[in-house]
Amino acid sequence: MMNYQRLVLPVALASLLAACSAKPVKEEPVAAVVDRSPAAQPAPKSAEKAPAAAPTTAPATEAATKVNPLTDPNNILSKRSVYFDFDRYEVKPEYRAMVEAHARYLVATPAARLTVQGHADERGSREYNLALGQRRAVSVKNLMNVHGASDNQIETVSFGEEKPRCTAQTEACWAENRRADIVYAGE
Amino acid sequence: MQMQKFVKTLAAFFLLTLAQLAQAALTVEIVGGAAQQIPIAIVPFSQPAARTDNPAAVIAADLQRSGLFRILETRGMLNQPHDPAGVNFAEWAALQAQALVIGKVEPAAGGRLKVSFRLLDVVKQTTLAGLEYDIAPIQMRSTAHKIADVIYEKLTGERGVFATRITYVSKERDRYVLRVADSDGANPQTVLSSREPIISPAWSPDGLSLAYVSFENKKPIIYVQSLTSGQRRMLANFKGNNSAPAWSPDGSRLAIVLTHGENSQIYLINADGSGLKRLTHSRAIDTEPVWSPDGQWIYFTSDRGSSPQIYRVATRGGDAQRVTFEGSYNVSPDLSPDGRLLSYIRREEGRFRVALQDLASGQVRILSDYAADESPSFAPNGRLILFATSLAHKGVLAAVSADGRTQQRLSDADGDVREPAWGPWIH
Amino acid sequence: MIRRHENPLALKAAALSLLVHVLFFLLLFVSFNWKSAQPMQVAEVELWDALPAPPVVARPEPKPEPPKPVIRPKPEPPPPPPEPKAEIAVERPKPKPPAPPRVEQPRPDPRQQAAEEDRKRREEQERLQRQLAAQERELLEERQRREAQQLAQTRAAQSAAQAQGAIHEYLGQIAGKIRQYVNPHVCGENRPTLVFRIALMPTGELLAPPRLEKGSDIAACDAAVERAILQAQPLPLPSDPDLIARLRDLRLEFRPNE
Repeated sequence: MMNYQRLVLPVALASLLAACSAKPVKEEPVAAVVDRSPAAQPAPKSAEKAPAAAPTTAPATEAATKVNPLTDPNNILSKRSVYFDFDRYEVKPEYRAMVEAHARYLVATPAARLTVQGHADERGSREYNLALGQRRAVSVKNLMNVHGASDNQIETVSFGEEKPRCTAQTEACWAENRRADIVYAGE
Repeated sequence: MQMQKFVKTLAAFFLLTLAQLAQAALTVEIVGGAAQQIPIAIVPFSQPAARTDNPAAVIAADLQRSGLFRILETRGMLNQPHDPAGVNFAEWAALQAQALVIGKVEPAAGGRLKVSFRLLDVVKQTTLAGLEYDIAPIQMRSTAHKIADVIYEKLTGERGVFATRITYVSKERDRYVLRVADSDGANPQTVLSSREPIISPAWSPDGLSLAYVSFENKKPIIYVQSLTSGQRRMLANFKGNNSAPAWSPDGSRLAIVLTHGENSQIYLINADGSGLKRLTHSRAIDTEPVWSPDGQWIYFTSDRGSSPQIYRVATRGGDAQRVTFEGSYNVSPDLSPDGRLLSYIRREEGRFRVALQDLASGQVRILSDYAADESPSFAPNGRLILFATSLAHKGVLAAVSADGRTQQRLSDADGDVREPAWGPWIH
Repeated sequence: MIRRHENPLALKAAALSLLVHVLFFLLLFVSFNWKSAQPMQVAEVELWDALPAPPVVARPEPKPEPPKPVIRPKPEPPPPPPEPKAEIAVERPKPKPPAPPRVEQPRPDPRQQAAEEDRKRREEQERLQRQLAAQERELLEERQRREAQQLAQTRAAQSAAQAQGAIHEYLGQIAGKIRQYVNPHVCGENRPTLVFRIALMPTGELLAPPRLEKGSDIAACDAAVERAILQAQPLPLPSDPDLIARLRDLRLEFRPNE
C-alpha cells in the first residue's frame, strides 16, 4: 500500500488554499467528500494513531458552510450506537433503519470508511465479553452488507468491557455499555 | 517325626488360641472427626540481632492462610527452643500442639545466611523433617515459603504452593499495571505499565515468560515478555482481535483467539509466531482456550449452542464436544494439573460464581459465596483455585480450596485487581 | 522347623521352650482374677432401658383341679374310680399317676361284697389321696425349683446387661474423646477405613504405641489418626476391674470421611 501518510500534510495545506479561494465551490457536498478522501484512505488504524489534526481541518471548515450529514443532529446518520440485550448480538428492529442508513451512505460514498466498535457490559469474563463485543460489531456489519455495503469499507473491532461509557453497577449503565459504535475514519 | 507332629499341633493350637483371643477385643467405632485443623506451634527462629523480620512469621502466615492449620500462640512459653535438644515435649503437649517448628538463622561467609529448621511431632516425640538452606539475605522470604511448603507436605501429604508466584492486572487510577507477586500477594513486581487495558496474562510452563493482551495499539494484540530480561515481542497482530493466549504444556505452542474481521475463533500458533493453524470452525463465539495437561485437548468457551458453555476439541482437530450441561452461562474454563477437575464461572440468578466439575462423574459444585467472580486459575498442586471477585466495587483476589472447605482473601493490593493466573512450580 | 540335630536334647529343649512360650502368652491374654467374684455370664442380651418385667412363670394349670376329683368321688360311690384317674392323667402330663388297681366287685357274697367293696373303695381313695398329695408336693417343689432357677437367670441377665451397658457407655466415651482429635481434612476425598489396635493401662494411657492394622492409602491420614489416638490420652476407663479387663484391648475402627 502506498504510504498515504506522506500525502496528508501537502493535501491538507492545499485544501486550506482551496478553502480560501473558492468558497462558493465548497457548497457542493460532493466536492467536500472528494477533498477528504485522500486523507481518509490510510487504514483506520493509522488514522487513529496520527494526530489527525490536518485531516479534520477540512471537514471543520466545511461544516461552517454546509451541514455534514454524518454529524447533523437531524440526520439519522448522526446516530452511531446500536444497543443490545444482555448476552445478545442481534440488531434489534429499532436500530435497523439507522444501520441501513449508514450502509446506504457507504454505498453512495465509495471512499467512505468506517469501523464498528463492539462493547459489552462488565459482567462475566473479559475474554468472552471481548468476543461478544466483536460479535455485535459483526452483526452490524452483516446488516450493512445486506444493504449493499462492501467489507472493504467496514472494519470491525472489539473493546469488550474495557472501554465503558459509565462504570456504575446498575442496569441502566450496563445497558449503555452493551453497544456497537459506528465510527467513520477521520473522526 | 513324632516331635514334628507334636510341635505342629502345639503351634496350631497356639495360633488358634491367639486368633480367638484376638477376636475377643471390643471394637470402638469412630466416625468422622471433630478436629478442623492441625494444631501447630512455630517458635520464632533465633537470628542475629540486626535482622528484624523473622521467617517464623511468614511460615505461620502461610500455614494459617491454608486453612488447615491452627497456629498456637508461643509467646507465653518460657522455653523457646531452637534445637531439638532444648525441646520439652510435655510443655508443648500441654498446649495441645501436635507439631512444633523450631529453627535458626545464622550468619555465613560472604554476607550470606544459613537457615535451618526442624519439624517435630509433639505427640510421638520424633523429628519429622529438618533442612538447611544457604541463602542471600534477599532470599529470606522465599526460603520461609519453601520451609512452609515442607511442613505442609509432611503433615497433610499434599505438596504446598507457598513458594509459587501469581500474576494479575491492577487498574490504578488511569493506568493498567501487569504484576507478578508471591502466592500470598506480597513482593509485587511490575511487568508492564500502560495507559490502555491489559488482559489475559498467561504463564509459560517454565514460569519464565508471560503472554498477555495489550490494547496499547488501540486494538487487542498478544505479546510475550520474558520475566528475567524484561524483553518482549509481538506474538500475534492479525487483522481484528488477537487475544486469550494459552501455552501448551510443553511450551512449544500457544492457543490464541483471532477474529480476522469475523467472529472469534481458536487458532494454534508456534511460540515463535509461525505456523498459524485454525482449530475451531463455527459461526459462533469460540474463545478462552485452555490445554489439558497431556496436551491432547483444548477446552474452551463457545456459544454455538445458543448459550455460552464449555466445550473441548482435540488439538489435532476435529469436532468439538460439549462438556457443561447444567446452567445457561458457563465461561472461563481452567483444568486442574491432574486433568480430572474443570473449574469455570457459572452465572446463576444474576450471580457469577466459581464452579468445579468432576470430568469423570459430571458432578458440579459451586465453590464461591461471592457474586462477581472471574478468571478461575488452579494452583499447581490442584488444591486451590485463585480467582478475582468484586467487593465494594473494587476488584480483589481470593482463593478457594478445591474441596470447598477453605476460602481466603489475598492481601489487598492498592488498585482494582483482576485477571489473576497462578504460576507453575518454581525449581 | 524341627530338624534332626546333632544335639539329641535339642528337640526336647525346643518343645519345652515352645510350651513355656505358650503358657506365657496364655497368661498374658487371660488375666488372673484375684477376686472371688461370680463369673459373669456372657449371655447374648439385648440392651434394655428398663429392666424387663419378670418373666411369667408358667404355673402348672391343673393346680386348682386336683381337689375336685378327690372331692367328687366321695359323695358318689357308684362312679368308678377310673374317672378321677383319667382326669389326673390329662392335666398332669409330667407326673404319671400310677394306674390305680382295677377294683372288681366279687360276685358271690353281695353283703360281704358290699362291705369289702366299701373297704376297698376307702383304701383306694386314701391311696389316691396320698398319691395326689405326693404329686402336689412334687409339683410344688418343682415349681419352686423352676422359679428359683428363673430368678437366678434373671439376676444374672440383669447384671450382665448392666455390665454390658456400662461397657457400651465407656466405649462411647472413648470413641467420643478420640474423635475430638481426628482431623478428616488430611484423609483425602474417598471414604477410607482405618483400624488400630491399642492396649490400655488402668490409668487410661496406652501401654504401647497404637498398632496399625489397616491403613488408608494416605500416609498423612494414618499419621493424623495415630496422633489423635495418642492425644486423646488418658482415655476414660471405669474403676471396676472387671470392666477394665474387658476394655483393656481395643480395636479402633475409623471412618473419618463419613
